[in-house]
Amino acid sequence: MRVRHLTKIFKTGGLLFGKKFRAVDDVSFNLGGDSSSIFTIVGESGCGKTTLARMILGLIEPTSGSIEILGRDVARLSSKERSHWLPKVIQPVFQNPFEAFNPLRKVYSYLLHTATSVAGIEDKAEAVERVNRALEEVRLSPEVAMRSPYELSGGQVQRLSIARAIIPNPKLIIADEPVSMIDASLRMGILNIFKQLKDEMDINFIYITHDLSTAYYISDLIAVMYKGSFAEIGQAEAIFKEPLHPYTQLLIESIPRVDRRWTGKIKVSVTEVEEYLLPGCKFADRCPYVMEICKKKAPPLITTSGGVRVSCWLYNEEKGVAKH
Amino acid sequence: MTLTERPGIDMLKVVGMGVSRFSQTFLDVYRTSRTFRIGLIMFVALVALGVGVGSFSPFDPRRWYLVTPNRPPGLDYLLGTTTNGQDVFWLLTWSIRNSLIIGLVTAMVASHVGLLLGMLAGARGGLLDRVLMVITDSFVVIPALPTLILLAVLLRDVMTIPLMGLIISIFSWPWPSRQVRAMVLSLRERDFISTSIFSGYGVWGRVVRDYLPFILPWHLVNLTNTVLFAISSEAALAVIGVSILSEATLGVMIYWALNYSALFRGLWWWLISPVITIILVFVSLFLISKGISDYSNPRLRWQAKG
Amino acid sequence: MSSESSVLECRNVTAHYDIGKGIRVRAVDDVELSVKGREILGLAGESGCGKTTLMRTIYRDVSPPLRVVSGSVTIRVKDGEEIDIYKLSDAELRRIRAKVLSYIPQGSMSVMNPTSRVKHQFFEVFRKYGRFKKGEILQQVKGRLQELGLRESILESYPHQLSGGMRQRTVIALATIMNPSVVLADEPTSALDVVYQRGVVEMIQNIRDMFGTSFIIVSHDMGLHNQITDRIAIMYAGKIIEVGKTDGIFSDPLHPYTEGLINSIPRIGGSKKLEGLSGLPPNLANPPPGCRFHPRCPYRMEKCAIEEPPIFRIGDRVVSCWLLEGK
Repeated sequence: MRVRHLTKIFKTGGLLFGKKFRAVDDVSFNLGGDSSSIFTIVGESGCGKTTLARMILGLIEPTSGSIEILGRDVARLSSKERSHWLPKVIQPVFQNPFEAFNPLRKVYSYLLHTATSVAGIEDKAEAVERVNRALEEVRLSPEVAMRSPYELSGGQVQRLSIARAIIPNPKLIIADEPVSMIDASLRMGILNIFKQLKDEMDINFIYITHDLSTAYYISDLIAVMYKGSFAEIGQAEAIFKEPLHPYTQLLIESIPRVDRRWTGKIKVSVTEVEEYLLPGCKFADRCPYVMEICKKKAPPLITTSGGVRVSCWLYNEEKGVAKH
Repeated sequence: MTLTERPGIDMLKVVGMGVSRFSQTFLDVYRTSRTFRIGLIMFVALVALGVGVGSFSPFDPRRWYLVTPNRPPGLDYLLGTTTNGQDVFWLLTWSIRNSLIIGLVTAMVASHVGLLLGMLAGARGGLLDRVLMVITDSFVVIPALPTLILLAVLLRDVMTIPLMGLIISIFSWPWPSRQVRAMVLSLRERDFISTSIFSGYGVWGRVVRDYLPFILPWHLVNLTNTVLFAISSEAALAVIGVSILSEATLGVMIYWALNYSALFRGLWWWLISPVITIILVFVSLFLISKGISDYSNPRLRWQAKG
Repeated sequence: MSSESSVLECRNVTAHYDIGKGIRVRAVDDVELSVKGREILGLAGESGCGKTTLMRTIYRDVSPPLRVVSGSVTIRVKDGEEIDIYKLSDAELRRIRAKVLSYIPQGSMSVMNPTSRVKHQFFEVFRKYGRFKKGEILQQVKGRLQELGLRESILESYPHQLSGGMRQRTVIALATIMNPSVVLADEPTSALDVVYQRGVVEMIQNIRDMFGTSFIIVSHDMGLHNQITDRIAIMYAGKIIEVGKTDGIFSDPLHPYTEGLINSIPRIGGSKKLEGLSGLPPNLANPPPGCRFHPRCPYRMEKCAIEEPPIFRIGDRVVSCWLLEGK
């Protein structure tokens, strides 16, 4: 998968005096290659990660840029390709398991239809077999799929979602906050399934979350998103070991952890100023290391010697190391 | 639709599912909502009166001076007779029947046209949506009553009961179409629609399997309300003398009674009968409609079920 | 009250939901809980464990189908007097709310009236207690805001003009303006971004330090509990199964559920092979016999399926598990 300069601008307000809001701003990344990986996009609410996910799924049209999957651009597919080809290649898993299925329908109908229609299995017995195998992968018995969602726990319904998503053997699953609404003790089960699917079925994942702890648990690659752009992107090991961008550092610092207490007090900005059109680095008003240039020019995404790409004036390409 | 299934068989399956789900829901509403039960019983009684009993009517409602005029209610004439020699009781049964036919024709045509267009516009979006909305809005803007009067007068020579129903439909379909479209638009944002898309359902698949189950309760209420609306529209037209005056409808009965100054002349039974009947029709339909909409409100349904 | 320094005590509190057709959900079962003065007690547990129902029961926000079956909730007021919440009349109950016992429900960021400025929300609180002089009130409120590190300008703002973190802190200021003895906060940070959570945590700790207010913080987020609470009570299937000092609970959990819960939390730099708990929480309309956790417990014994474990006390820890018998 190659995403190039993906941008989405929303217009709010009236015809004449509307404001423009850059939900996703010039995002680029690659995914896939020889082995499959789990790519996490981490960021807080409003940073644009859900909009990014919806564009990759073809649910929202980008303002500019391209999303190439297996050579075809999602943003420029014909409607036939979009309904017949895309679901074979990409599948979603949503945040709220109880919203993922129509409460007035049987969950099983979705699974069976995915087998017959997306995976293209014509023989009904074979289709049922495929559904059962998918349920096995997520460790659910077939009878669970026959129940109504509200008889099941969030964790179980989410597994049903995942089972449905793997039926056509997609190359990529996009999971938007898949465990945020699930109890802590059941989360590991779901995240372990992701890892297992990556290894056994060779499925890539884009895992979207605000929770750095789960991100650490399953990511191979990670991108930190802030106000529409990637602040930092690279191998998860490297970024967790040595976060470069001040925002990443702030995020890691701010997690309420079970093994460490916060020390000292932090400065929290009093109001949120949604000035998306100000020049300069988007994090400038909250950055403890802000410099003059940060307020004037937006820093480009540069690659440091460790392979991590970061967008911050503290670093430059030649030295590849922190200036401060 | 899917590539692998045969469209004909699939349609049958869906229709079959629809019918069974409909009857299940019907029984459920009947059991839980007392309002619905009362309304339904009233309505069925009226229909029985109009259609069942009425089919034994010895008089043709289009012909006058068949019986002794101006007789009050009594053993020989149950509800009395009119000045132009018609038996009020048997006239009433015909009127109920014809008014109901008008109501039903309008409801079937207008509600379903509105439903279909609304769902298409909402689910498809884009150019189709915009074109349909322009057409819908144009009809909303045209003043209904004057146009109905005009049409009724112009088509006076070929007017029949069903045609009247059709004419009233012309102005009854835009509103449900807009409502349905709004409901579909809000449903479209929900995650399960995306799940359907990625499960291989096309636009029609989503319309039938996802949107329709949500819209059906509303649609049933709208059907009932449209019957009501149509009957009252026809009555309004009749009272000003623009409906089919030769046929018997509840409105036309009132027209002739007013025309002959029935109340003033003491022939109260001629006016009161259709008026009370119309009120009963309205009340019964209202109760049915309220029963359905109460049932659709989940909280109330749980309370009722206990 | 048994403990000298207890400011709130629940004894044998049991509450059920009667949802008709003879179904009774035992949401809160024989709960015993106490909060000391100047203490932040955490109430931890996952969805359906009964923690929100327990909060509502303590606050006496009880209406059908919820029914309090037995037990008592007593609060010690500043001058030493004890109040039994369930023995108060409706009028008395209304008077003590905000002044003695305050409740911040879940999702309360949206609880402020969107059509009036923040200062009017404060006026309303004071009005309930018969104070109408706006000038005086403003003085007092401004003073309090300053003590809590909030800007005066929020008084003139409408709720939607404030960020999520700001709104939550304003709601907390509103709930504590009358210096109640105990504040119940249900998921005070769950809808907030990580960066704002810390501000809220610090504010709660400040209020405790400055005014001696006790808090019960309900949350499913164990990380939050570690940061803010002095003691934690763990709830499972309507029962309190372990209570103890926060440090102790995290370093040495005694109940198998607590252990499983803490072990299923991923940490940065920690293990990448965690398991989580198997099985599902029980149906509270028909809980399993004996210990409610036994179907999922890796250490279960025969006794666990037959008899419910009593409460065992070890040092300052309270645990309800047969493993502790004889210790």
